[in-house]
Amino acid sequence: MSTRDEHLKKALQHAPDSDVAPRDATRKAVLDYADKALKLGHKTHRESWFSRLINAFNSWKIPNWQLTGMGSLAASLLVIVMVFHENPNDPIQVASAPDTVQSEAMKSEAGPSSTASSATIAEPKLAQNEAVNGELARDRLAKDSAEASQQAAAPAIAPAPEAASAEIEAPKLKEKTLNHLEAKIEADNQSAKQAAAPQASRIEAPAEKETPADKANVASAPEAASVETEKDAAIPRAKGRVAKDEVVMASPAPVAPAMVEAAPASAQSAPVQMKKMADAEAQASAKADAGASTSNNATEEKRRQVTKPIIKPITKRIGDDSLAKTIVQMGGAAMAKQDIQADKLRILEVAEYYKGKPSDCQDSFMPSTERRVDAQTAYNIEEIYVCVANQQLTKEVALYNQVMREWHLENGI
Amino acid sequence: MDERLFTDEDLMRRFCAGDSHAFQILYTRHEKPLYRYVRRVLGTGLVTQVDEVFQDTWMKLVDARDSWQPRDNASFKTWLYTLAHHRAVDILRKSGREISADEGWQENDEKHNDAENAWQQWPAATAEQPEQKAFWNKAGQQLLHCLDGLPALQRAAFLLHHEDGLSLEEMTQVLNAEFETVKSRLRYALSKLRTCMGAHLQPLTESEHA
Repeated sequence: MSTRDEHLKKALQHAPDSDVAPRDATRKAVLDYADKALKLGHKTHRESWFSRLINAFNSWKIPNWQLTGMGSLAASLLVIVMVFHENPNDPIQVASAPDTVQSEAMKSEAGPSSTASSATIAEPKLAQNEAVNGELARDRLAKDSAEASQQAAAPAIAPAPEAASAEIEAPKLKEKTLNHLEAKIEADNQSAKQAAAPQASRIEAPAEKETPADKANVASAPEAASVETEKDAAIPRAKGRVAKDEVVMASPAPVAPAMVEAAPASAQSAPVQMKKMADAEAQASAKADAGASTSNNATEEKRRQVTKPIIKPITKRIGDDSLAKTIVQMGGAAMAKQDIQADKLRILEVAEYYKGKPSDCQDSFMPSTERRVDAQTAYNIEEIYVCVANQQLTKEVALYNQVMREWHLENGI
Repeated sequence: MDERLFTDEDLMRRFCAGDSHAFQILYTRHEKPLYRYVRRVLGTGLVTQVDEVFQDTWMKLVDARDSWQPRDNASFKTWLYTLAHHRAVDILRKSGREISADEGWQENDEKHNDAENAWQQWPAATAEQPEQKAFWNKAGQQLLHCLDGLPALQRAAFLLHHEDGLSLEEMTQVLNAEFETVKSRLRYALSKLRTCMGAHLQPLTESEHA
């Protein structure tokens, strides 16, 4: 069957519209359009916005790796802008910066001290220290959680600039001076540990968990075998060590003068002051030890030193720490008299507030406490915020309060 | 220079090279057939759109001249009718006209046979006697009426094949359909037109033959 029908084809040829043609205007428009297209060259046709966009991308000759790099850079900038835009004045961020510096400074200070103590004291004693510190940590766990919640509720308070700079500079100077000695200390630590293992009887008297060998040593030794003697005997062994060990261990040796002098007057604030306090306390305890004639007393004193957390200088106070420095410098009685003359009547309390474990106490902070009044004098009670209170501070505060109360009895309304 | 010596592809090549006269020759050569095709595909209902489709077809050809490449299996004429067909189908769709090619068509054998018989009563299509001109004019008028009754794609298949002389292979490109599909559409169109023409156009009487 043919696909062409001749009859239909012939009929189509005779159709009435077989001679129709486009209008002249249409013909003219088409021919003019073609002429213009040739005169204008190319691209006379109207391009859609999408085709123009595609052509623009095609003509934009940039390597793929550059596009990838620009995209990554843009994404990074966007993330940075979003992060800083989210909370630019976050008090936690502002306060954490000096905290970080301070923590590093404290680490530089606490690190060698712990190393030195481990070099001076044998391993069993270190274990006891850790056990005691762990107990203390458990005891204060509830207090920590409560204070942490309070701190979370209250915004962090940035330290005063002067105090912060002082706190930062002093450990840095120390760190610079002592860094080169750490390697030597490490070597001494290793040798001390090795020596401590076979010579358990020559170790210092343990505090609570004394080994039988130690007990026998303590019982049989004459007075010359007291802890002080042992300490004196241990010191020559560590003769090559630096004064840093002595400072941290609260030994009678003074604080390294070079470090104290190197720090400016403003910088000799918390760390130096508290080192002096620690030294004074150590001296007092040494005198007390010397006065004691029996080995039991010496052992008891040593146990007290071991059970007591290491007294470290108050190097970080977010609250008002000027009281602690002032009362130690002036003395409690003198300060009380001065306050009375200035009509500044108050009762002081020592409050230990710290972050983290008591053993690595690095920060003290001021909790949000309510106003309290002394029942006897009706004076306001002000707290001295310290990380760990030492005996001298406690003693001076007691003297201060005693003078204040006596004056109240005499002159109070 | 005899313009008839140049093929469509030669003229198009010259036009692409910047010869506007070549385009005028092309346009003149295909003006009427293309216009008729557009007019008949659109049908009498969309006769007002014919000039628009016709003009758009040529303008699109001008715009796309850079992308045109002469190919062995696609002539310039095929390309030109493809552009026109697509534009016409767009207009048909926009107007809501039915363009389905395979709408229900049950070939009636009896009518088909009658049409075949009627065909036999018709004068021969090869030679035309002067006295038969009125018959063919009437047949042509009737054919336009019957074409309006066809689906658009069947109508396009018939016109491309009978009016413009495209082969089935070329029609596959213009209609963008498979060969068998095009053939089927054409067969449906022929059958319908034969029936339509045989039913409405009486064969010549004896007196008319004489």
